[in-house]
Amino acid sequence: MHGRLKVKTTAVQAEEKRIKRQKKLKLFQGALAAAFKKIHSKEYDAEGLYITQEILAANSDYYTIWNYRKNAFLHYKNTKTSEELLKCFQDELSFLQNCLKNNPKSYSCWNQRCFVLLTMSEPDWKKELQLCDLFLQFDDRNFHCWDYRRFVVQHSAVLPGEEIQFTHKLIENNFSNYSSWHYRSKLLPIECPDASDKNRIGEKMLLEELELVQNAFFTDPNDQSAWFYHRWLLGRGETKQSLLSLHVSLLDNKLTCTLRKPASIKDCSCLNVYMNDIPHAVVWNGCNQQKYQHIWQCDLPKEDLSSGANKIKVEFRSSELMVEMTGEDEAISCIETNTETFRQSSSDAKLSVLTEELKSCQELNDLEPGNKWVMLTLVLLMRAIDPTHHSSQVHDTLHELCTVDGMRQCYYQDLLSKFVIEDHIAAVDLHQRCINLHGKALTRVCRFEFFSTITSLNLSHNQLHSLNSPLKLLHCLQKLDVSENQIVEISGLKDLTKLVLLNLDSNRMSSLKTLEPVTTCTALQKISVKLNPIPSEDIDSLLQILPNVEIVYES
Amino acid sequence: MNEALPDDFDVIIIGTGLPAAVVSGALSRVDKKVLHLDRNDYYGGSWSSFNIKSVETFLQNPYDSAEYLNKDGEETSNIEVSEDEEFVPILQNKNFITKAEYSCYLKRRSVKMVIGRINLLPFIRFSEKNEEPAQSSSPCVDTCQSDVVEQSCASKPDDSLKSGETPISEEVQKREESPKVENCNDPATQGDGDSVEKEKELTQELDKAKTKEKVDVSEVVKPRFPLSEDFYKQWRHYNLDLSPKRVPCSRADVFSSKFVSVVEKRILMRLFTLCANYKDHEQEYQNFREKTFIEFLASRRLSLKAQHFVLYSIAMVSETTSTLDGLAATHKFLHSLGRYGNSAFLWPSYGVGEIPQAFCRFSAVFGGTFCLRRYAVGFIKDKTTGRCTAIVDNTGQKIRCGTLILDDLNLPHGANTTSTSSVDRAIYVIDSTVSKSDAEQIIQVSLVTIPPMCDNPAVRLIEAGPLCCVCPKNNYVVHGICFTNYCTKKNCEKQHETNIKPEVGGEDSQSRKPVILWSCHFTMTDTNTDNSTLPPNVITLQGPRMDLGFDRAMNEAREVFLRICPGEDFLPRAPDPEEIVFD
Repeated sequence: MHGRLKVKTTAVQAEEKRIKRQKKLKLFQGALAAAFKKIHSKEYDAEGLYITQEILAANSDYYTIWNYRKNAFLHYKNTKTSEELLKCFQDELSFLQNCLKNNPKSYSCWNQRCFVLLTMSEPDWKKELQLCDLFLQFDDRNFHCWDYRRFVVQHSAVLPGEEIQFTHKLIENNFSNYSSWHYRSKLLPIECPDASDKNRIGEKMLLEELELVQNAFFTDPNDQSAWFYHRWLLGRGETKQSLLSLHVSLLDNKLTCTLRKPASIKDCSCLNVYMNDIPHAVVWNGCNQQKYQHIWQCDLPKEDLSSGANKIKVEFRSSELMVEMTGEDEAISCIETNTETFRQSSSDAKLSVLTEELKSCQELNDLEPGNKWVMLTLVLLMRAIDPTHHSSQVHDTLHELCTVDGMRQCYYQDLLSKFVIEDHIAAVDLHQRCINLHGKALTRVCRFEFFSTITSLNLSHNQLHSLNSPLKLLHCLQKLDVSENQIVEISGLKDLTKLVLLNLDSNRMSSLKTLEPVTTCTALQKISVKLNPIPSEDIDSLLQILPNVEIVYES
Repeated sequence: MNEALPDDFDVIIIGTGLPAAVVSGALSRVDKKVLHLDRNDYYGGSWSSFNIKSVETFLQNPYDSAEYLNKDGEETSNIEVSEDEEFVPILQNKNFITKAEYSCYLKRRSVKMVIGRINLLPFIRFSEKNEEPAQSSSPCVDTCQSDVVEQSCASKPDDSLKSGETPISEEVQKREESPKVENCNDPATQGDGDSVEKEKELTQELDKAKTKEKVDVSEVVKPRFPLSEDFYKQWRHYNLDLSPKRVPCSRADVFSSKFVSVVEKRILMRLFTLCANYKDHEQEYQNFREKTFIEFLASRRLSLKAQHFVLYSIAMVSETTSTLDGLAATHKFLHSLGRYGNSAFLWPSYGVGEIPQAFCRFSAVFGGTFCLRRYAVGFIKDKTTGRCTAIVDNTGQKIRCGTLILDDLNLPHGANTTSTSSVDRAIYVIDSTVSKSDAEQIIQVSLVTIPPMCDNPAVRLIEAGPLCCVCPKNNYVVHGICFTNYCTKKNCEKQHETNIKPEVGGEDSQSRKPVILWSCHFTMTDTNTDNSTLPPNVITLQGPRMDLGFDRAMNEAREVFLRICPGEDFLPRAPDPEEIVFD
């Protein structure tokens, strides 16, 4: 019909496109050849800049080409007048802006921009900040631009208050933006620091921020950025370094100190030993090659110990422990543990603040049952407020989380194991040197540093899968019962030189190889491996390797 | 303009209202031969936009402008028809605008706002240049003088419209209703000599309105009704303060709103999440299928305040709306959000009148023939087949057609017409905003819904500021729209007589109230034509109503198109220039 539009077929269009692309490719390759000629001959001129500009306009990630331009500008710096140079830099900045428009996540472009601003004589930082505003408007999570913004802010002395305002604007626009929240967490401690800790924020500000973030997670409790920020606000309290236990053995004349946090040999200069109140110079040794360790040992002169010097005191900063030798081969001293021992590691915010947060989270949980972020935050808050009081609720919530958020089931189980162990440590007198964690549904064991003076540890009937964390911290351990677990490997038992009795019954040890670590336990007398899928020939080999050890197995 | 047209077309369309224009575009797109006539010298019919001068002219006499000869059948005697044919006259719909009046409270020369455009639909525009709405006056077969409007419409005509809640704006901020409105009697605020005169004129005008037999529309929109005692009581009951609040409707709004508590934020977001996919969660509203939407909202633990703004400002439905309809309306609102910024609305910079015009241009690009100031005085009906065979235009030319489409301004003689609904409309130009609240943000367009109160029907206010190019700096244009029917009108009347107290000034006396500079009131009536008495190939279209969106017009256009071309694509994507083969 007359006037009817005829539309090209897709084949015709594809062919046209192909020809166009081919032409473009040929041009690009030609330009590239010319550019590399310039690069090799170190020829820095306007033509070179023009060619490279064309190439970069097509592909702004080509850093070799950007480097040529950098060299060219450095060359110009010595050869051109300042006006000419300024013009060059300004052109480069507007060219870069165009490149960034096409490719806002190009490392090379942002990098080149930093270079230009640092190289030019009077950079206009204000304009750069506006550029950041613009690009963050397009994509508020472009971390390249956030990086560049921090660079600009750093060089132009923008007040933190203004930047806080800016993040506020972005958050109002879209609070699923962790970049903004994170930037806030960097700025707020500068703007309104806490009087006692310069990495934290003052209480008034803290309350305002809590309200803001509360608005966010009430609006959308599934948004993780708000929860992460919330967690930062409540802060993980810093564990204070202190002495945990002291162990003196007359058998090998060694003094062993266990510290709450791993320390370096340098920190050991604060460990002062007194014998009958007389300072005693010692040399500290770690028990492995690592720089930071929980346990440090030193030799004690045998003659002093036998000649009535029976009070040994160790001072470490504000903490001190003392043992009195009363004719025994060994003596220990441990700190008193209670619920406060671990509470602080969840949060160091004020109790009133935490209680308030717990209240609003519970409210949200009522409105939105089964939200994993709310539940997890509840657990952490309850741990931070009063672990014993909320103990059963914490257990229930974590069990619920395992079903609600099955993908992270193991994480919650591990978390629960940690809480169980912490609660156990808090309730027990460590001087008894015996820990019984039988049937606690543990999936992992942690807080080993508290167990360093323990001689007997019962972990039977749990859900442990391996013993791969170094049990060497348990340097007194003689009796270990890990029966009725699902253990497949025991590499953590390596070099437990005091271990006498090991019960591995009802586990999943499957070969001689996995049992190998026990060969390094030199004091071992008895090992029980009943109900493990170990082939009988492997048992035979084990019998040969450990001729002096009683091996219990089903035949 | 009187030159002869070709005398055979597949489809002839009379009138360029939105559905007519869309059908025209869709038909031309699939190569139908289309003739499109309009008796006016502008496009759009009841969808047009006018500048303030022409709106005054229009309101003074909405119908005579193009009435050349057609004096109800006088001409028809000259029409030659054979024996087995019958001539059916087509008349102009004179019911469309009634009770029109306007007043200007300023010395004419002192205001610059005599320029710009006023839509018949609630969107109006002033501009600095003197733009006349006149279009090319000769029959035009537009060639490709594509401009921006055409581009955007031509490439995706339905997408941008059908989807939407609609018209509107870079930033239409939705607001909760508010009883606050302009108080006209505030001379203190007007420093110049005009004020006294203005006040006098205004009172006169108000008195006039009172003495009228029927209550004027304006009474509904004017400030007095919300300020009655009852109103205050009710609103106190709702625990709402009396300034319009920004209604949180998107996720970001809910987050930053200080209007609702954190708990309410959660409840609201849950409701929004449900409404966004309500079809997949039937169990959530199973028990409310037979109940109203407001009952459903109450069951979601929404506070009374929140129930009201979801009902009136988000779903924009009434208290009697059923749960399913309310959910569908909320769903539509939520899915309109975020398409173009943080609003469910768009504001057309050149007025709604541009939209039918753009579809006409699209039709012309694909071969449609257009002719303004030309219309059908009647059509010829074949007595044996009962079908329409041709039209007779106002020059007396007979033009054959396969199908005849008439828009809402053209009524075939003898067809049963019923007035389905009428909308009372008021347009004010005022000198300060009625919806100031969160001052930091420059609000360009506000949409305020005043829920029905004291037996008064719901009123919707749309306020557009100077940034919308509808009025000079510092002035605002307010549209008041109100559905009326005889029942509520009577109530209004009663209300008017018994309940309206003198202005309650106390509540607001510190802040300055807006002064009206110009106002007009009119009633728009929608006419439904009973198609059953018409030949099967004559189709009539509906006019605009109170709708803020174009859904109804677009759906109607699609139905009509499919009736004429069953199985064809409705407005398929137009090819890009590089895809077209030129011979």
